[in-house]
Amino acid sequence: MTPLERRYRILLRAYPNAYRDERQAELLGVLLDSAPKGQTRPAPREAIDLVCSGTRTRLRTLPTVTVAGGWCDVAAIAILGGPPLLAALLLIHSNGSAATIAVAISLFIGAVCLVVRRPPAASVLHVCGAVGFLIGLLSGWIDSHAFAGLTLFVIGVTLLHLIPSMWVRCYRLTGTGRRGTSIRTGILVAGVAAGVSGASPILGFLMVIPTAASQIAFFMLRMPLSLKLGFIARMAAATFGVMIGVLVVLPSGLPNPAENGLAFASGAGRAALGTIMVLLLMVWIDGRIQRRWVSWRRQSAPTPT
Amino acid sequence: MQEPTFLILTALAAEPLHGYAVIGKVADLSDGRVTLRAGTLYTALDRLTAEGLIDVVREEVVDGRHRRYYALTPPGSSRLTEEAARLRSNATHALRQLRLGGLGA
Repeated sequence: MTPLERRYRILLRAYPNAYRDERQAELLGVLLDSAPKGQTRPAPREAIDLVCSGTRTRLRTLPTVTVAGGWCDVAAIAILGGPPLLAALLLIHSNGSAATIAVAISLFIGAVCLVVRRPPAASVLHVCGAVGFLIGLLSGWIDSHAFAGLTLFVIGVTLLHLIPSMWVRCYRLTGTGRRGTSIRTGILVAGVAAGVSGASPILGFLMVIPTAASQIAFFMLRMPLSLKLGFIARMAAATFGVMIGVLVVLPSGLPNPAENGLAFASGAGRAALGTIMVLLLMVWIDGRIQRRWVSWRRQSAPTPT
Repeated sequence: MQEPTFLILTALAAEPLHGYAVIGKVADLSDGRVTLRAGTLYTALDRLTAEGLIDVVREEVVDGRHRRYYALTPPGSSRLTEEAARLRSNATHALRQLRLGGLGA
């Protein structure tokens, strides 16, 4: 293998694996044919073009397996997203925070996008929501009640994530087709109803949800994201990981840098470290969930004729 | 339809071509103005295949290089015909308007 070919192969990793299995030889042929004689490194513009096209292909080929589908599910998600939105509005009255509303809205729209089969958009919005949340957190806009509820919630998510096969089993249990959709919708609605009735406005805001029943509702929402193979979905999963990392390591937030510079620096360092650890963990767990999901799909798929 | 897409379809109109030949032909057709890069070309080829405008007609291995030959499908031909007619009509109008203004040749 020439150095040029080796370098092209590295760049081609921007494409999804399945795509490379099928097209890499052909693409590589074109790249090597186009290269002037004696060239050992890809031209920068060629390299950028490959990475961009590869990324675009990844986005385009994200599978659109969703737990939900159809207006029935959109309605369910709207119900799920409604309480956080409402509670965010209540929060403006109590201790007004633009960040909380932004977070709630973006997570809500993200959830809707997920249901209407727009996984990339959903993931981007989830990432925005999480980033907004972090900004709110670090600048003290999100109050301590919300903080405590959220901490409980993220710990719960992490624990449940540790059982990847559970997700796939849950999905299988509810069945496929219209009946499965109705069952999942029912679970969502019941979970949300329980969560709303049991939660105070502030805790209700945390999609996030202090009661067990409404946690289930959130997990049903989180599941389709895990089942989606693809880079962006993993990024979104990872951002949840970031939230967890920061919360677990720094349950009371960062100290004021002006008062105690050293404590601030060490806190920030621990938060960064915890974030990386949890991030890796979440990506790994999502990968496992997805692999199980794919093998199940393969087993249960009708043999092509 | 964007220009690179139009040129790719044009390149495939006369005969089936493999990827590298498409790049060369598009450069010829556009007098060297449009140089397709491999990534861009394959993104376009994938999209056109998905839309049913082109299709793979044969595959071969030459000097260890894997080659797929792409050809226009009947829907692809009619799409290209429509697009060419549209462009010709636009060009005709543009020239006529320029003549009316006394600016054109």
